[in-house]
Amino acid sequence: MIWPALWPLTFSGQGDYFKSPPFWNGQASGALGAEPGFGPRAADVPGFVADRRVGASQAMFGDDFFDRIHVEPQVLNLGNVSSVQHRAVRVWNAYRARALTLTDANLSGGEGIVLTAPGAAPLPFAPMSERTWEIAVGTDGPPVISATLSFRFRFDGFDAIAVVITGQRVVAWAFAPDWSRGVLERLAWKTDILTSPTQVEQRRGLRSAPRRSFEATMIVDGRERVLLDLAVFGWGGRTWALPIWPDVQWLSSEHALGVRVIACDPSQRDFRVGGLVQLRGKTAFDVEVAEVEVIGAVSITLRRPTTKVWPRGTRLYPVRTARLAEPPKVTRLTDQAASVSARFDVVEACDWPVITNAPMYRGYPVLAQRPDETERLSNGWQRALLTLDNEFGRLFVLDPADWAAPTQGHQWRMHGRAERSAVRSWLYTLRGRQQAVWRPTHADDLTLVANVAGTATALDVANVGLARFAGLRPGRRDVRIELRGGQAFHRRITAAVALDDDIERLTVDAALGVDMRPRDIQRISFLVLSRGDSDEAEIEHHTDSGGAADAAIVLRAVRDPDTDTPAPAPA
Amino acid sequence: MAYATSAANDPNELLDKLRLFAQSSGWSIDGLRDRPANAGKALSLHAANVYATFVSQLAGGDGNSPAPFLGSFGHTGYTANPNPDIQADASSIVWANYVQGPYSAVHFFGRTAPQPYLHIVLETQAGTFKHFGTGRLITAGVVNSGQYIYGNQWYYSANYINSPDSPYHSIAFDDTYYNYTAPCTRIRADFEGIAPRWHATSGDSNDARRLLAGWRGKAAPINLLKDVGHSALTGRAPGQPLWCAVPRGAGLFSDVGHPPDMRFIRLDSYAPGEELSLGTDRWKVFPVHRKNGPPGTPNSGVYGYAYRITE
Repeated sequence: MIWPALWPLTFSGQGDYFKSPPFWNGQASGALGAEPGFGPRAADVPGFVADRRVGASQAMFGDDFFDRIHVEPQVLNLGNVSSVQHRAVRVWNAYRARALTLTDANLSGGEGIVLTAPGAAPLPFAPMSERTWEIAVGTDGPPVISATLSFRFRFDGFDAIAVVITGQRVVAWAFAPDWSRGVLERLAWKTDILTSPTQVEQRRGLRSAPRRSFEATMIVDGRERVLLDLAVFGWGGRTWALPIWPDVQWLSSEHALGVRVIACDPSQRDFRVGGLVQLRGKTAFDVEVAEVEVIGAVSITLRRPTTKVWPRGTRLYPVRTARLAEPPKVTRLTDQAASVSARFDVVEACDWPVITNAPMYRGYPVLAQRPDETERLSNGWQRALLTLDNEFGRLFVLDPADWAAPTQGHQWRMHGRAERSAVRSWLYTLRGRQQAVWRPTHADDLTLVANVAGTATALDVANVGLARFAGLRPGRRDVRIELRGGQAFHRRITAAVALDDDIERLTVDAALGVDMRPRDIQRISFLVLSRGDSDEAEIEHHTDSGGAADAAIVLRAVRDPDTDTPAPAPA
Repeated sequence: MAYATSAANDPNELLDKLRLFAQSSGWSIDGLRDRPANAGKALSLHAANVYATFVSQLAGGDGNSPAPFLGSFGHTGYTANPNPDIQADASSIVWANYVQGPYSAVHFFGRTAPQPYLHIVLETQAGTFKHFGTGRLITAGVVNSGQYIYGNQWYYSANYINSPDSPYHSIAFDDTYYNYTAPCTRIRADFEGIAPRWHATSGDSNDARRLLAGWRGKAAPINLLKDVGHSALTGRAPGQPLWCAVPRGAGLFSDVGHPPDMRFIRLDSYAPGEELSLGTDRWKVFPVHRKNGPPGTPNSGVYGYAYRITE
């Protein structure tokens, strides 16, 4: 006896109550459509069952996956296109039992975009089949890419399914600068300053990131000269992929075609994830721009493989997108050579970390580094006088703040990338004119004349008129005491009295904690809470970032309330 | 606008934000008024023939089910009564308890067609979520009205706060529940000449107005996915429609449908609030209350809801 033949009689003696489920006919359950079709469905039940049941097919998770058309991706954001970009768009007929016909796939606004279709329309799609359209976006075409690829299944009653392609075309600026004059980098913040009559300020930074521009001279000859001429002539108004010249480095190993990992030293250079890099060979024709995906310790990984072989000695630059601020000035040297000076405005936000390792005093960092004094630094005072002049009497002059803001120049000379990065952090800390830092005068302002115990708060110094003129006002009431051992103390003078013509006695707000003799002291300078006097700062790169650069700013004192208790109002 | 994320400090402000969102997604606002009997507000709105009122209640409750509360109830038409809680054919209120602000985030999902719905997900603290909302089921068969309202009432007693399967918790579209907290899912399915006929999850198996739904019970309609609805191979889980059924006597049940654009999903490999794409659809997943909460905190295991973001 064959066992299956007994099966219907095993339990009930009746035939099987449930027939095996009918073969599924490929109908969607309709859970994703509008209200599903419903209604009585006579189920085929054996006659001996008294009740008749109605039912509908029950929606399950398959409806979230199947019985629809999937097009992926629906948005292609290419970002900055500086070399040919290939992307694939996949169309999947996810109907489990319905063949579809693609009537057309149209590309609108597709100048400079090449579409490779898997076949000519009308294109049959068998159930569950997928086809791929290749999209190649070239560098030639309008500056802004805004194209739509729409797939139509018109016979089957579907609306057009659109794939939006966006991006912008940037072209590499592949001309190397002439370092004999260096490269000038400018950072420009914008600060709105509201000043009260007593010179207390409210300062609002209006830009979250500074505007950055580069000025350099390029000497081009032969084919490159004509290339530059034509590039500026044709595309001078577009966005360029501008190499950050000071951050150049030379590849120390061969890189085959199609690699994604470039061995280099990315630290303290302007590389960033999602940004661009430029590889440049011997000439301006030999160039490639690629996008950064990961920045490692000794390498960067590109989003897509390189398209050329890059030998040792290839220049690798970080890239920022920039526009020509004005048409470049060309100086003709010979028939074949020209010197071109160009100024670029970077069109993306350039962020940089602020200084973190500076000593702090009363809530603000102290710019303790001595300025570079190869060029003379100037000091001065800014006083806001109100003058009333009626042209026939004597002048009436009022000094409402009764205070002058000491100004002083500060110049940095940087060697190597670590110093450059620190100076850039200081500039980003100052944010143009917005933020204040403590800056010592770096001068011999006060001279100690008697020993001071570590627990004492009174210092006897040579009389310089502090008690008479300074009046313990901001700008001349904090001191930095530097010892020969390298220690430095920041203290506030809380009282000053002239003992006689030679000696003044100062009281400071806290004891120093070490015994001091006059010969231990390197220098006692006034410490001034200052902000930048200009929103613009310039960095002069004499060489690339391994070498020297200069930057100079002017600092001006402010009356910002720091963390001490305000003085009682004068009676 | 079918999806928006927002912020709010308390239930009353939340109702005002919900009013703005509902308006922008095509719902009509009938009123946002104070509730005379309770410190709270009532927001009445409708889309097509789905009328609902959302209420806030800042006081009441107890240690196991603390205030503040957000509730919802469905009704027919709108009457500008002095007491906004009184409406024609109204259901009882379903509550979401302990919706303490300020909220880390608020997610609104809403639509008016083909089925109107408003689904609200509150992130009351980082990682802790509350769900409530209303809408009309994608019905199976001729179901009159098919309006659903849901909330979430966790039972915060120390003995149960940490057990996701405990029937002390009453959660949306799940019927595993004894009457310790009020039912959290009510569906209107009028038949046999009774209108309105609001069904609610119930601990009594002889209740003719029971509602069967969910996954936590052994015999629950979608119990299977609770145990196997996650692929260890791909780390993905499918979203399961939340079927609802009503008793027809003689131990038989009829399916009435499932809420649109809302699914049950296991969150083994998904983070709360993660967005998954399924073809061109975008789904956002949230835990039922708190994913795998540590001892002493609410723990709803890996159970979650997925909401579709429609454009």
